[in-house]
Amino acid sequence: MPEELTLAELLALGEAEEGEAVEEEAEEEVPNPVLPTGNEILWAAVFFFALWAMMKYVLLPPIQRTRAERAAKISEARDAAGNASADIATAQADYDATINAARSEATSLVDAARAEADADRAEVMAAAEAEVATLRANAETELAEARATAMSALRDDVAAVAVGAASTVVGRDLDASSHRSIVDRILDGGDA
Amino acid sequence: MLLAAVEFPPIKNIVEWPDFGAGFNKIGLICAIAFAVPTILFLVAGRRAEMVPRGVQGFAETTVEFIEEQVAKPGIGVGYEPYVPLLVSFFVFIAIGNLFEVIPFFQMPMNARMGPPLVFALVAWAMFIGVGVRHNGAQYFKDVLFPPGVPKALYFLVTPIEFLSTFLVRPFSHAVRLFANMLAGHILLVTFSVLCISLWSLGLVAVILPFTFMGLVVFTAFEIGVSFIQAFVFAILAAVYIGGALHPAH
Repeated sequence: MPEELTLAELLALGEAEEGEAVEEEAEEEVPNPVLPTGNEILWAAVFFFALWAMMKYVLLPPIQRTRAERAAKISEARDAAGNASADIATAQADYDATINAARSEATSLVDAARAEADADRAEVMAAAEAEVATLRANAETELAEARATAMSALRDDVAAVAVGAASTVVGRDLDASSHRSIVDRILDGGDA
Repeated sequence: MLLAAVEFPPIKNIVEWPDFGAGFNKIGLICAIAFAVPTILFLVAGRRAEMVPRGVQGFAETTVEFIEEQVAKPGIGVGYEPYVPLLVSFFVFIAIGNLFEVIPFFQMPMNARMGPPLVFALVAWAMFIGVGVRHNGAQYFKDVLFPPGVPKALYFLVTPIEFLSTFLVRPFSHAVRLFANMLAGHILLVTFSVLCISLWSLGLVAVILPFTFMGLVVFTAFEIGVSFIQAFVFAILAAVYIGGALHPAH
């Protein structure tokens, strides 16, 4: 057999060896590739129905159950997260309200303290001013008294000097008490 | 001239498989594996279920969620829940069966034979008619055959069409859509495989092999996508049919 023979040629040679009678018989037995055969329908039906039954009653239920549990868990976690968000919002609102209340209270306390301080300051100022007025009045009184005393002593001294001087001028002793009214009238700005 | 030596194998060789016994052939074996794989995976996922899904559980839950969100809810609408097991079964059984198109030593999609798609389509057909009758009684047939809003004079035309399209043609179109796509993909991959083998034998044209082989690789990847897309299309069509029976007024 030559080496350069192809597979097709080999197949052709093999077929030729089978003889014409065999070829005719084989041609008669060539099946229609489109028509189904009973055994293949049977095995396909048996195994498909078996798989369908297994899927329906054995295989899918645990998988579907697991998926449902997972979906429920995810939903539950999502709800919990939503509730946590609501709690956070509530806590934030409470915090803000507390902060605002504290600020309001602090402001009112500061205002009250400021008002009280103002009142105290006004009271202290009033007391101080009253005391100052009293002290001033007392000082003025004392000053007036001292001035009066000084003026009286000065008048006495002036009167005595004047009477002494007049006594020297006139060459005789003058009664100081009788001439005192003259000296007082001169000191008050009147005529002698 | 050399390409004329390329001989495509007879159709019998690419769609028919010998029995292992009791009519159990490669298609039966693929059906068994398409049953066993999701059963084991979903069993493991259900028994090791944790709040944070990982590994097999993540795969199973993602599959179920995908069917619920992308197939059942859009196709059926309100009241979709009882039909999720059927739609999940459709999707995983068909998708795994289709993937054997590219799995070494199998390299035959389960649905490139008409038997399995016909079974699925008949199940969907029986299911949507049963759902329609159960939820709407005889009114279901009236709503389907005599659509409201159509002028009565047109019923002589519309009613036979609706009867044919809904109750007779629908299961066959449902099955043939899946079967034809997978058979076409299978033949496509066989074609490129045969071409690669033949070109490998013909040393003179071996320069074409990289392109042919790349075509085989690309179409293999394409067929992996087709496997899932066809499973999705079949499942969503079943959901739409059931939804139409459940809410015929819509």
